[in-house]
Amino acid sequence: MTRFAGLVIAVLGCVGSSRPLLICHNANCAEGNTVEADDTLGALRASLALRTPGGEVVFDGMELDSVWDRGLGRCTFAHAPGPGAPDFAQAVALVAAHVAASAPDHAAHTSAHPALYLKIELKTDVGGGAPHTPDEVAAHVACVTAAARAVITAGVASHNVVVPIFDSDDPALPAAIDPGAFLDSSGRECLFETGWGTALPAGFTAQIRTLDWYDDPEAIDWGQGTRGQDATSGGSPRGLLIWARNPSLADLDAMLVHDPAYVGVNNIEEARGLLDAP
Amino acid sequence: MCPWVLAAVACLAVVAPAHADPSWRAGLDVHGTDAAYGGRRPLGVAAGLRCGATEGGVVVDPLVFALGWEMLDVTAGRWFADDRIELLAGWRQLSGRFGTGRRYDEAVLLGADWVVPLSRRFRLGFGLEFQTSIWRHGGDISSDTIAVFPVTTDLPERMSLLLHARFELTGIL
Repeated sequence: MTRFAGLVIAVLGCVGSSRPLLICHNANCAEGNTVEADDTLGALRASLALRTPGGEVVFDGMELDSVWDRGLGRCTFAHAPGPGAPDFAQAVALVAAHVAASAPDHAAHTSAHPALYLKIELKTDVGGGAPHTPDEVAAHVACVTAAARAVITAGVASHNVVVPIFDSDDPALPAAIDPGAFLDSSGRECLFETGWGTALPAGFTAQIRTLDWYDDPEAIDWGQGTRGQDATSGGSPRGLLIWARNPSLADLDAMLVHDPAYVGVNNIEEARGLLDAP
Repeated sequence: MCPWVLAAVACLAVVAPAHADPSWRAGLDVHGTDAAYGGRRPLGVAAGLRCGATEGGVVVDPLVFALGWEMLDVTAGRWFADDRIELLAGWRQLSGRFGTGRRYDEAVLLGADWVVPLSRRFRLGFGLEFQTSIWRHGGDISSDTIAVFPVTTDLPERMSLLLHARFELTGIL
Protein backbone atom coordinates (compact mmCIF):
# COMPACT_ATOMS: atom_id res chain seq x y z
CA MET A 1 0.00 0.00 0.00
CA THR A 2 2.88 2.32 0.85
CA ARG A 3 4.43 1.57 -2.54
CA PHE A 4 1.16 2.28 -4.28
CA ALA A 5 0.82 5.55 -2.40
CA GLY A 6 4.36 6.49 -3.43
CA LEU A 7 3.50 5.71 -7.02
CA VAL A 8 0.40 7.87 -6.90
CA ILE A 9 2.40 10.73 -5.43
CA ALA A 10 4.98 10.40 -8.18
CA VAL A 11 2.33 10.27 -10.88
CA LEU A 12 0.67 13.38 -9.57
CA GLY A 13 4.03 15.12 -9.43
CA CYS A 14 3.64 16.03 -5.78
CA VAL A 15 7.27 15.73 -4.77
CA GLY A 16 7.37 17.66 -1.58
CA SER A 17 6.53 21.05 -0.24
CA SER A 18 9.96 22.64 -0.61
CA ARG A 19 13.46 21.84 -1.72
CA PRO A 20 15.71 20.00 0.66
CA LEU A 21 19.09 21.42 1.57
CA LEU A 22 21.98 19.61 -0.11
CA ILE A 23 24.85 18.43 2.04
CA CYS A 24 28.16 17.40 0.48
CA HIS A 25 28.62 13.91 1.92
CA ASN A 26 31.99 13.28 3.59
CA ALA A 27 33.46 16.43 2.04
CA ASN A 28 33.84 14.58 -1.24
CA CYS A 29 31.41 15.65 -3.93
CA ALA A 30 33.51 16.79 -6.84
CA GLU A 31 33.56 15.08 -10.22
CA GLY A 32 34.80 11.51 -10.25
CA ASN A 33 34.67 11.11 -6.49
CA THR A 34 35.53 7.70 -5.07
CA VAL A 35 34.92 6.35 -1.61
CA GLU A 36 38.67 6.31 -0.96
CA ALA A 37 38.73 10.11 -1.23
CA ASP A 38 36.06 10.63 1.44
CA ASP A 39 37.27 12.85 4.27
CA THR A 40 40.47 13.97 2.59
CA LEU A 41 41.76 17.50 2.28
CA GLY A 42 42.11 17.25 -1.50
CA ALA A 43 38.50 16.20 -1.97
CA LEU A 44 37.37 18.92 0.44
CA ARG A 45 39.23 21.59 -1.56
CA ALA A 46 37.69 20.34 -4.81
CA SER A 47 34.23 20.22 -3.25
CA LEU A 48 34.47 23.74 -1.88
CA ALA A 49 35.42 24.94 -5.36
CA LEU A 50 32.29 23.48 -7.01
CA ARG A 51 30.07 26.01 -8.73
CA THR A 52 26.88 25.73 -10.76
CA PRO A 53 26.91 26.82 -14.42
CA GLY A 54 25.51 30.10 -13.06
CA GLY A 55 28.50 30.55 -10.74
CA GLU A 56 26.75 29.74 -7.46
CA VAL A 57 28.11 27.48 -4.76
CA VAL A 58 26.59 24.05 -5.37
CA PHE A 59 26.07 22.86 -1.81
CA ASP A 60 23.98 24.13 1.10
CA GLY A 61 26.12 22.30 3.59
CA MET A 62 29.44 20.52 3.99
CA GLU A 63 29.92 17.36 6.03
CA LEU A 64 33.21 16.85 7.86
CA ASP A 65 33.86 13.62 9.73
CA SER A 66 35.74 14.01 13.01
CA VAL A 67 37.52 11.24 14.87
CA TRP A 68 38.97 11.28 18.35
CA ASP A 69 41.99 9.05 17.75
CA ARG A 70 43.04 7.47 21.02
CA GLY A 71 46.33 6.22 19.59
CA LEU A 72 47.30 9.66 18.31
CA GLY A 73 45.72 11.57 21.16
CA ARG A 74 44.22 14.12 18.81
CA CYS A 75 41.14 15.04 16.82
CA THR A 76 41.45 14.08 13.15
CA PHE A 77 39.63 14.62 9.87
CA ALA A 78 38.98 11.04 8.85
CA HIS A 79 36.35 8.35 8.47
CA ALA A 80 38.03 6.12 11.05
CA PRO A 81 41.08 6.19 13.32
CA GLY A 82 44.34 5.71 11.50
CA PRO A 83 47.83 7.10 11.10
CA GLY A 84 48.34 9.92 8.65
CA ALA A 85 44.97 11.55 9.08
CA PRO A 86 45.17 15.35 9.11
CA ASP A 87 44.15 17.34 12.15
CA PHE A 88 40.48 18.23 12.12
CA ALA A 89 41.54 21.87 12.40
CA GLN A 90 43.13 21.64 8.93
CA ALA A 91 39.83 20.73 7.32
CA VAL A 92 38.03 23.38 9.32
CA ALA A 93 40.55 25.99 8.20
CA LEU A 94 39.67 25.24 4.56
CA VAL A 95 35.96 25.69 5.23
CA ALA A 96 36.59 28.87 7.22
CA ALA A 97 38.69 30.24 4.35
CA HIS A 98 35.86 29.48 1.92
CA VAL A 99 33.37 31.28 4.14
CA ALA A 100 35.69 34.24 4.70
CA ALA A 101 36.20 34.66 0.95
CA SER A 102 32.49 34.41 0.07
CA ALA A 103 30.28 37.37 -0.70
CA PRO A 104 27.57 38.04 1.93
CA ASP A 105 24.97 35.25 1.98
CA HIS A 106 26.83 33.37 -0.74
CA ALA A 107 28.96 30.88 1.19
CA ALA A 108 26.32 28.29 0.31
CA HIS A 109 23.83 27.87 -2.49
CA THR A 110 21.23 30.60 -2.47
CA SER A 111 18.09 29.14 -0.99
CA ALA A 112 15.15 29.89 1.24
CA HIS A 113 17.52 29.44 4.17
CA PRO A 114 20.62 31.48 3.28
CA ALA A 115 23.16 29.82 5.53
CA LEU A 116 26.02 27.41 5.27
CA TYR A 117 25.25 24.21 7.16
CA LEU A 118 28.44 22.83 8.65
CA LYS A 119 27.65 19.21 9.45
CA ILE A 120 30.22 17.65 11.73
CA GLU A 121 29.93 13.95 12.39
CA LEU A 122 31.48 12.70 15.59
CA LYS A 123 32.67 9.18 14.81
CA THR A 124 32.13 6.77 17.66
CA ASP A 125 35.26 4.65 17.22
CA VAL A 126 38.40 5.92 18.96
CA GLY A 127 40.48 2.98 17.74
CA GLY A 128 39.93 -0.77 17.53
CA GLY A 129 36.20 -0.21 17.70
CA ALA A 130 36.41 1.12 21.25
CA PRO A 131 33.92 3.73 22.46
CA HIS A 132 34.88 7.04 24.01
CA THR A 133 35.86 7.35 27.65
CA PRO A 134 34.30 10.37 29.44
CA ASP A 135 37.58 12.28 28.99
CA GLU A 136 37.61 11.45 25.28
CA VAL A 137 34.01 12.61 24.93
CA ALA A 138 35.04 15.94 26.47
CA ALA A 139 38.08 16.25 24.22
CA HIS A 140 36.13 15.34 21.08
CA VAL A 141 33.36 17.77 21.97
CA ALA A 142 35.87 20.54 22.65
CA CYS A 143 37.47 19.89 19.26
CA VAL A 144 34.25 20.09 17.23
CA THR A 145 32.94 23.02 19.26
CA ALA A 146 36.08 25.02 18.54
CA ALA A 147 35.88 24.01 14.89
CA ALA A 148 32.29 25.19 14.51
CA ARG A 149 33.08 28.44 16.28
CA ALA A 150 36.00 29.10 13.94
CA VAL A 151 33.74 28.82 10.87
CA ILE A 152 30.98 30.86 12.51
CA THR A 153 33.53 33.59 13.27
CA ALA A 154 34.65 33.59 9.63
CA GLY A 155 31.00 33.92 8.64
CA VAL A 156 30.38 36.86 10.95
CA ALA A 157 33.22 38.73 9.25
CA SER A 158 31.95 37.98 5.72
CA HIS A 159 28.24 38.29 6.57
CA ASN A 160 27.48 34.62 6.04
CA VAL A 161 25.38 32.71 8.55
CA VAL A 162 26.91 29.38 9.51
CA VAL A 163 24.75 26.78 11.23
CA PRO A 164 26.53 23.82 12.82
CA ILE A 165 24.92 20.39 12.71
CA PHE A 166 26.44 17.88 15.12
CA ASP A 167 25.78 14.30 14.13
CA SER A 168 26.73 10.90 15.49
CA ASP A 169 25.57 7.31 15.44
CA ASP A 170 25.88 7.55 19.22
CA PRO A 171 23.60 10.39 20.35
CA ALA A 172 25.46 10.56 23.67
CA LEU A 173 28.28 12.38 21.83
CA PRO A 174 26.27 15.34 20.47
CA ALA A 175 24.27 15.29 23.68
CA ALA A 176 27.46 16.41 25.43
CA ILE A 177 27.55 19.61 23.35
CA ASP A 178 26.03 22.75 24.82
CA PRO A 179 23.63 24.19 22.20
CA GLY A 180 23.56 27.48 24.08
CA ALA A 181 27.14 28.09 22.97
CA PHE A 182 25.91 28.57 19.41
CA LEU A 183 22.77 30.62 19.97
CA ASP A 184 22.95 33.79 17.87
CA SER A 185 20.98 37.02 18.00
CA SER A 186 18.42 35.75 15.46
CA GLY A 187 17.58 32.80 17.69
CA ARG A 188 19.33 30.34 15.42
CA GLU A 189 21.39 27.69 17.20
CA CYS A 190 23.13 24.48 16.34
CA LEU A 191 21.23 21.38 15.26
CA PHE A 192 21.68 17.82 16.43
CA GLU A 193 21.34 14.74 14.27
CA THR A 194 21.35 11.01 14.80
CA GLY A 195 20.07 7.88 13.12
CA TRP A 196 16.45 7.14 12.30
CA GLY A 197 14.98 5.12 15.13
CA THR A 198 17.95 5.61 17.47
CA ALA A 199 16.95 5.94 21.12
CA LEU A 200 17.89 9.34 22.52
CA PRO A 201 19.39 10.10 25.92
CA ALA A 202 16.96 11.70 28.37
CA GLY A 203 16.59 15.41 27.80
CA PHE A 204 18.31 15.36 24.41
CA THR A 205 16.51 16.37 21.23
CA ALA A 206 17.76 15.58 17.73
CA GLN A 207 16.15 17.92 15.21
CA ILE A 208 17.42 15.83 12.30
CA ARG A 209 17.10 12.06 11.88
CA THR A 210 19.26 10.25 9.36
CA LEU A 211 18.25 7.54 6.92
CA ASP A 212 20.57 5.59 4.61
CA TRP A 213 18.64 5.38 1.34
CA TYR A 214 20.03 1.93 0.63
CA ASP A 215 18.87 0.55 3.97
CA ASP A 216 15.68 -0.60 2.29
CA PRO A 217 13.62 2.61 2.23
CA GLU A 218 10.60 0.51 1.31
CA ALA A 219 10.66 -0.96 4.80
CA ILE A 220 10.37 2.40 6.52
CA ASP A 221 6.97 3.35 7.82
CA TRP A 222 7.05 6.90 6.52
CA GLY A 223 3.92 7.78 8.41
CA GLN A 224 5.54 7.28 11.80
CA GLY A 225 7.83 9.56 13.74
CA THR A 226 9.98 12.15 12.05
CA ARG A 227 8.90 12.53 8.47
CA GLY A 228 10.04 15.00 5.93
CA GLN A 229 10.19 18.65 6.74
CA ASP A 230 8.45 18.96 10.06
CA ALA A 231 9.18 22.54 10.92
CA THR A 232 12.06 24.90 11.36
CA SER A 233 14.38 25.39 14.29
CA GLY A 234 15.37 29.03 14.56
CA GLY A 235 15.06 29.35 10.77
CA SER A 236 16.77 26.04 10.00
CA PRO A 237 14.81 23.11 8.60
CA ARG A 238 14.42 20.11 10.83
CA GLY A 239 13.27 16.64 9.94
CA LEU A 240 14.64 13.87 7.79
CA LEU A 241 18.10 13.69 6.23
CA ILE A 242 18.44 11.02 3.54
CA TRP A 243 21.95 10.12 2.45
CA ALA A 244 23.42 7.95 -0.25
CA ARG A 245 26.84 7.99 -1.85
CA ASN A 246 26.11 8.41 -5.54
CA PRO A 247 22.42 7.70 -6.07
CA SER A 248 21.03 7.43 -9.58
CA LEU A 249 18.82 10.17 -10.97
CA ALA A 250 15.83 7.95 -10.35
CA ASP A 251 16.86 7.32 -6.76
CA LEU A 252 17.44 11.03 -6.19
CA ASP A 253 13.99 11.83 -7.48
CA ALA A 254 12.47 9.05 -5.40
CA MET A 255 14.12 10.49 -2.29
CA LEU A 256 12.34 13.78 -2.88
CA VAL A 257 8.97 12.05 -2.72
CA HIS A 258 9.62 11.62 1.01
CA ASP A 259 10.08 15.36 1.41
CA PRO A 260 13.40 15.29 3.28
CA ALA A 261 14.67 18.43 4.94
CA TYR A 262 18.23 17.49 3.92
CA VAL A 263 19.82 15.27 1.31
CA GLY A 264 23.44 14.19 1.70
CA VAL A 265 25.13 12.83 -1.42
CA ASN A 266 28.50 12.73 -3.14
CA ASN A 267 27.13 13.43 -6.64
CA ILE A 268 25.91 16.80 -5.48
CA GLU A 269 26.04 18.43 -8.91
CA GLU A 270 23.49 15.91 -10.15
CA ALA A 271 21.32 16.50 -7.11
CA ARG A 272 21.54 20.27 -7.60
CA GLY A 273 20.61 20.02 -11.27
CA LEU A 274 17.62 17.88 -10.42
CA LEU A 275 16.45 20.28 -7.70
CA ASP A 276 16.95 23.33 -9.88
CA ALA A 277 15.03 21.93 -12.83
CA PRO A 278 11.96 24.04 -13.63
CA MET B 1 12.05 -40.92 -10.75
CA CYS B 2 15.78 -40.19 -10.36
CA PRO B 3 16.55 -36.45 -9.99
CA TRP B 4 19.09 -36.73 -12.81
CA VAL B 5 16.41 -37.98 -15.16
CA LEU B 6 14.18 -35.07 -14.17
CA ALA B 7 17.05 -32.68 -14.86
CA ALA B 8 17.60 -34.25 -18.28
CA VAL B 9 13.91 -33.89 -19.11
CA ALA B 10 14.06 -30.26 -18.07
CA CYS B 11 17.07 -29.69 -20.33
CA LEU B 12 15.23 -31.25 -23.27
CA ALA B 13 12.36 -28.86 -22.64
CA VAL B 14 14.76 -25.92 -22.78
CA VAL B 15 15.92 -26.87 -26.27
CA ALA B 16 12.44 -27.39 -27.60
CA PRO B 17 11.83 -26.43 -31.26
CA ALA B 18 11.64 -22.72 -31.96
CA HIS B 19 8.43 -20.98 -32.88
CA ALA B 20 8.25 -21.04 -36.68
CA ASP B 21 6.09 -18.08 -37.74
CA PRO B 22 7.20 -14.46 -37.43
CA SER B 23 4.97 -12.73 -34.91
CA TRP B 24 4.35 -9.49 -33.08
CA ARG B 25 3.24 -8.41 -29.65
CA ALA B 26 2.07 -5.13 -28.15
CA GLY B 27 0.70 -4.18 -24.77
CA LEU B 28 1.14 -2.47 -21.46
CA ASP B 29 4.16 -2.69 -19.15
CA VAL B 30 3.87 -1.98 -15.45
CA HIS B 31 6.81 -1.39 -13.12
CA GLY B 32 5.80 -1.11 -9.54
CA THR B 33 8.31 -2.89 -7.43
CA ASP B 34 11.01 -0.32 -6.90
CA ALA B 35 10.79 3.04 -5.18
CA ALA B 36 13.09 4.70 -7.68
CA TYR B 37 12.17 3.15 -10.99
CA GLY B 38 8.55 2.17 -10.44
CA GLY B 39 7.59 5.79 -10.19
CA ARG B 40 9.57 6.90 -13.23
CA ARG B 41 7.68 4.79 -15.77
CA PRO B 42 4.64 3.53 -13.96
CA LEU B 43 2.96 2.61 -17.24
CA GLY B 44 4.90 1.79 -20.39
CA VAL B 45 3.91 0.59 -23.84
CA ALA B 46 5.73 -2.58 -24.86
CA ALA B 47 6.05 -3.97 -28.36
CA GLY B 48 8.10 -6.66 -30.04
CA LEU B 49 8.76 -8.53 -33.25
CA ARG B 50 9.75 -12.15 -33.23
CA CYS B 51 11.41 -14.32 -35.84
CA GLY B 52 12.02 -17.93 -34.90
CA ALA B 53 13.19 -18.04 -31.33
CA THR B 54 14.65 -14.54 -31.46
CA GLU B 55 12.74 -11.42 -30.51
CA GLY B 56 13.48 -7.72 -30.54
CA GLY B 57 11.50 -5.48 -28.23
CA VAL B 58 11.03 -1.92 -27.08
CA VAL B 59 9.23 -0.31 -24.16
CA VAL B 60 8.37 3.34 -24.62
CA ASP B 61 7.18 5.82 -22.03
CA PRO B 62 3.99 7.69 -22.90
CA LEU B 63 3.95 9.42 -19.50
CA VAL B 64 7.03 11.49 -20.33
CA PHE B 65 4.77 14.43 -21.11
CA ALA B 66 3.10 14.23 -17.70
CA LEU B 67 6.02 13.28 -15.45
CA GLY B 68 9.00 14.76 -17.24
CA TRP B 69 10.87 11.48 -16.82
CA GLU B 70 11.38 9.13 -19.72
CA MET B 71 12.51 5.52 -19.55
CA LEU B 72 13.13 3.74 -22.86
CA ASP B 73 14.17 0.10 -23.31
CA VAL B 74 15.51 -1.68 -26.37
CA THR B 75 16.12 -5.40 -25.94
CA ALA B 76 16.91 -8.55 -27.86
CA GLY B 77 15.97 -11.93 -26.50
CA ARG B 78 15.62 -15.61 -27.17
CA TRP B 79 12.70 -17.84 -26.19
CA PHE B 80 13.15 -21.16 -24.46
CA ALA B 81 11.12 -23.78 -22.64
CA ASP B 82 8.28 -24.17 -25.09
CA ASP B 83 8.05 -20.43 -25.63
CA ARG B 84 7.39 -19.74 -21.96
CA ILE B 85 10.69 -18.15 -20.94
CA GLU B 86 12.71 -15.46 -22.68
CA LEU B 87 16.23 -14.49 -21.74
CA LEU B 88 17.09 -11.02 -22.93
CA ALA B 89 19.69 -8.28 -22.94
CA GLY B 90 19.43 -4.67 -23.94
CA TRP B 91 19.79 -1.00 -23.22
CA ARG B 92 17.80 1.34 -21.00
CA GLN B 93 17.92 5.10 -21.20
CA LEU B 94 16.38 7.07 -18.38
CA SER B 95 16.29 10.85 -18.54
CA GLY B 96 14.77 13.68 -16.59
CA ARG B 97 14.59 17.45 -16.44
CA PHE B 98 17.84 18.78 -15.09
CA GLY B 99 18.82 22.41 -14.54
CA THR B 100 17.89 24.09 -17.77
CA GLY B 101 18.39 20.91 -19.80
CA ARG B 102 18.16 17.17 -19.42
CA ARG B 103 20.33 14.52 -17.75
CA TYR B 104 20.55 10.99 -19.17
CA ASP B 105 21.33 7.72 -17.44
CA GLU B 106 22.35 4.91 -19.80
CA ALA B 107 22.13 1.38 -18.44
CA VAL B 108 22.64 -2.21 -19.54
CA LEU B 109 19.72 -4.56 -19.01
CA LEU B 110 19.80 -8.32 -18.49
CA GLY B 111 16.58 -10.09 -17.82
CA ALA B 112 14.16 -12.94 -18.08
CA ASP B 113 10.46 -13.00 -18.91
CA TRP B 114 7.94 -15.71 -18.16
CA VAL B 115 4.67 -15.62 -20.05
CA VAL B 116 1.31 -17.20 -19.42
CA PRO B 117 -0.98 -17.36 -22.46
CA LEU B 118 -4.48 -16.27 -21.51
CA SER B 119 -5.95 -17.05 -24.92
CA ARG B 120 -4.77 -17.32 -28.54
CA ARG B 121 -4.39 -13.52 -28.69
CA PHE B 122 -3.68 -12.37 -25.14
CA ARG B 123 -0.93 -13.19 -22.73
CA LEU B 124 0.31 -12.14 -19.33
CA GLY B 125 4.03 -11.81 -18.69
CA PHE B 126 6.22 -11.37 -15.66
CA GLY B 127 9.79 -10.22 -15.90
CA LEU B 128 12.93 -9.79 -13.88
CA GLU B 129 15.44 -7.12 -14.91
CA PHE B 130 18.98 -6.58 -13.72
CA GLN B 131 19.98 -3.03 -14.56
CA THR B 132 23.47 -1.54 -14.37
CA SER B 133 23.98 2.17 -14.92
CA ILE B 134 26.96 2.69 -17.21
CA TRP B 135 27.04 6.36 -18.12
CA ARG B 136 25.28 9.49 -16.89
CA HIS B 137 25.60 12.54 -19.09
CA GLY B 138 24.02 15.80 -20.16
CA GLY B 139 22.71 18.78 -18.24
CA ASP B 140 25.87 20.88 -18.57
CA ILE B 141 27.76 18.98 -15.90
CA SER B 142 30.43 16.33 -16.14
CA SER B 143 29.67 12.84 -17.39
CA ASP B 144 29.80 10.06 -14.86
CA THR B 145 30.98 6.66 -16.05
CA ILE B 146 30.92 3.41 -14.13
CA ALA B 147 34.24 2.41 -12.57
CA VAL B 148 34.51 -1.35 -12.46
CA PHE B 149 38.08 -1.61 -11.20
CA PRO B 150 38.85 -1.27 -8.40
CA VAL B 151 35.57 -2.49 -6.99
CA THR B 152 34.25 0.02 -4.48
CA THR B 153 31.08 0.51 -2.53
CA ASP B 154 29.88 2.77 -5.34
CA LEU B 155 29.42 -0.14 -7.71
CA PRO B 156 26.37 -1.79 -6.13
CA GLU B 157 24.60 1.57 -6.09
CA ARG B 158 24.66 1.49 -9.89
CA MET B 159 22.80 -1.82 -9.96
CA SER B 160 19.12 -2.48 -9.50
CA LEU B 161 16.94 -5.54 -9.64
CA LEU B 162 13.48 -4.73 -10.92
CA LEU B 163 10.28 -6.57 -11.70
CA HIS B 164 7.67 -5.86 -14.31
CA ALA B 165 4.37 -7.25 -15.51
CA ARG B 166 2.98 -7.05 -19.03
CA PHE B 167 -0.41 -7.61 -20.58
CA GLU B 168 -0.01 -8.07 -24.31
CA LEU B 169 -1.86 -8.76 -27.51
CA THR B 170 -0.06 -11.12 -29.89
CA GLY B 171 -0.43 -12.04 -33.54
CA ILE B 172 1.19 -13.73 -36.51
CA LEU B 173 2.79 -11.54 -39.16
